Amino acid sequence: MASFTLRYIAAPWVMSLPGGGGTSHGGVRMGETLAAELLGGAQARQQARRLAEQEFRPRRTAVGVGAALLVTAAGGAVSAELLTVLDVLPDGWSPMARSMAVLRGLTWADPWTLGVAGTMAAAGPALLLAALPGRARTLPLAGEDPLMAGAVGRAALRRTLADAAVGVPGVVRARVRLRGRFRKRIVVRAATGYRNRPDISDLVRAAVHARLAEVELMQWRRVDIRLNRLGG
Amino acid sequence: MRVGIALTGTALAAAGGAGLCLGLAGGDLAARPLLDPAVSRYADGTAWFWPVAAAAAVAVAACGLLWLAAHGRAMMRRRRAALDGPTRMRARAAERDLLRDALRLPGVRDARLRLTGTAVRPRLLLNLTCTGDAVLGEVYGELGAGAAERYRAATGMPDLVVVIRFRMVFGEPAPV
Repeated sequence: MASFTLRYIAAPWVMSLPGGGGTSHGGVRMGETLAAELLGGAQARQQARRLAEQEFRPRRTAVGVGAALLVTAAGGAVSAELLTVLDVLPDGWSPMARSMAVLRGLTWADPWTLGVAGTMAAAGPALLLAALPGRARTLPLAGEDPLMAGAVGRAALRRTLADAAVGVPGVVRARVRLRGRFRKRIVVRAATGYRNRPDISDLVRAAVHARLAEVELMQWRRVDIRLNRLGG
Repeated sequence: MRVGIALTGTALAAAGGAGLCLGLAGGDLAARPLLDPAVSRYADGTAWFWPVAAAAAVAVAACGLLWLAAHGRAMMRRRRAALDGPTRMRARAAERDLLRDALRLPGVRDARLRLTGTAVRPRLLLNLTCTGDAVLGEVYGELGAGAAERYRAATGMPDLVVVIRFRMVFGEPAPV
């Protein structure tokens, strides 16, 4: 079945390959190999991308440890109270009588109750937001090894792209921002003293693209150039 | 880990929201105590109430403890690999070759590595400091094609995950 699928996919390419006669057995074999290599390469790239996403996404360790401590403390305190009621733990373990008195004395409209409830209501959505994947502080590099992941920091990338933009004759300074959560783009704000060079933004774009090609990021980003002409 | 954070957040939001609703609703409901006498009467009259409540609380506390332990284990594994002695020795021997190969690549100024993870899922963390104009794609490709593969072969860990973090150093003050 897999072989049939590969042969089916490979057929149009085989026709266009030199010596790939389509009907000849050798041509189909070559097409199969090519298709298998291409499919294998795509799969390896996908695995490499998954590994990079897994490795470089924020771990939220501090939030996780905090939430775990909260759950442990709350569960432990309530357990101690209830196990004291059941006489599993001796009376000294928890001030059960005082806790019950407090719970019986406070009403739902009490400022203390509202304060605690408000804090919980605010902390809950904050934790839910923290559980979202979030923005990685590093940008993964393209690769085909499914067991390898590489990344460069956002600040370092911004700096190296700014250096590339400043390398264009006439550009005095440049500032780079990485924007967009879904439509990812690189915004380069370059300042130039030249007023008679209409192609300067193309040159800056070309320089930034060349530098990006050297870095080889995993995700393609559009490059927006915003030129600021100095001197009036 | 994220599932735990999300569950805790949901529980907090639900409990806090319910508390606010009851408190701000006004009327008779807001004036009732947190531990309603009706609940106390029901608990006293029901034999299974306190044991079930206690079991639930102990289960929550146990989940919290397990979660904390998982965090601690993950943090420890990120610092030190849980590997046997011979593998550790082979890794130490292969480390020099990998660092030498990495430092020979153009633009690489400094290289540091750390072996982490478990015997089932080992992980090599490689921190490379490169010059500002280094061709990172080339360095990354060269490492993957040569040095990392040799390290895997030398340590006998063909499934070793290699994670490379690039830092860049720039000579002049920033022109930004």
